[in-house]
Amino acid sequence: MRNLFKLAVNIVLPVYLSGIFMFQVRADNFETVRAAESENLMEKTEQERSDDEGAWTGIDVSIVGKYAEKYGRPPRDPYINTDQGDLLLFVFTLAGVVGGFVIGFNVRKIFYEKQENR
Amino acid sequence: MKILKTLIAVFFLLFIFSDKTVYAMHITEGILPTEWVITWFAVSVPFLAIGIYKVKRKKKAVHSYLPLAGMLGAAVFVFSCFPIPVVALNGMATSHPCGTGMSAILLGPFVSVLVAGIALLIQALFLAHGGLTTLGGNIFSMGILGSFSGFFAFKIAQRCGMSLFWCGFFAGVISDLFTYLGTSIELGLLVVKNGGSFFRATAEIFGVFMMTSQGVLCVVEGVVVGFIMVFVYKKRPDILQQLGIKTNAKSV
Repeated sequence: MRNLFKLAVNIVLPVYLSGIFMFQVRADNFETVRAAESENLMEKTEQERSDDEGAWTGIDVSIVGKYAEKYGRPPRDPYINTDQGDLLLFVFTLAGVVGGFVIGFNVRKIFYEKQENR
Repeated sequence: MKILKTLIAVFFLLFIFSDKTVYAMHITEGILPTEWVITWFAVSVPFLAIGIYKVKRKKKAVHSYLPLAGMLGAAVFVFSCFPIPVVALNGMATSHPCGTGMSAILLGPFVSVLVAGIALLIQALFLAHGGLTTLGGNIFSMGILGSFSGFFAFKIAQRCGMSLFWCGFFAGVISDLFTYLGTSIELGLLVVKNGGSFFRATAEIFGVFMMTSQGVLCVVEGVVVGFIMVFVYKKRPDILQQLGIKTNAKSV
């Protein structure tokens, strides 16, 4: 009986207590994770909402897309979709640089080169 | 050829497909049904063919025609994918000009359609703007309607004895209005299948366009085209003469 009591005090009780502790820690973690996840999800939703309906939305987005959906022909993905992350920023910058170069080069050639070179 | 192949390879490595829905400028992929896709392509192709023929003919007749076409082509491309912030009835929004009025005056309406077609094709391929199936429809609205309306507005304004600035201004405004009228017509035609009123739908969409940022921006585009015409006249009046644009020095 005494040995049984010693076994309970030395092994079962620490295991039981550590089990409760571990469960609490894990439960806390779950709650923290869940809270963080729900916060992120909310932030994401707000971000998406601001992207879709916020300030400086193109009228082609808000008008053409809206009416096309209303008439049963919603827009779908482009065959070559560059609207992924910063890729669209890259192609727009590249397009601006190339377009600007072509404009500048030809403006100089047409309007600013000497008359005798024409 | 080797460089071209490398560019194509890089292009396909870079631009992978995604399932994300994109709403972009002009008429986006998937909006037009097949019958209208074919119709708008059929309408646009003859204008593009005549445009190619006119470029070949005019480059021999006008000395600086090719650099001018290159410059205006790049300008139309940049103009039509350049979202300008405008505060209007719909609050803070962005909208883009078209540039086809300017190109129609200086290059002629058919070449302007060609230039717009190339710009729209590049945008559809690389910038997720417009679409490949809706290219014909976008060429019809921005290229054909935008160019011809701007060209005739310029001619009419000249006949009315207006100064070069105001002729350019009206060409810019009218071409912008007609471009969005074209888009409204193309969207309005979608309701015909469902038994809706085409005229009502077109008027509604066009009214919404004009009451929001685009109404303000067409005036801005008019001012820009007016100043560009005055700039060309002051720097190279011989180009305008070669292109057959009558100018009166007193009315500039």
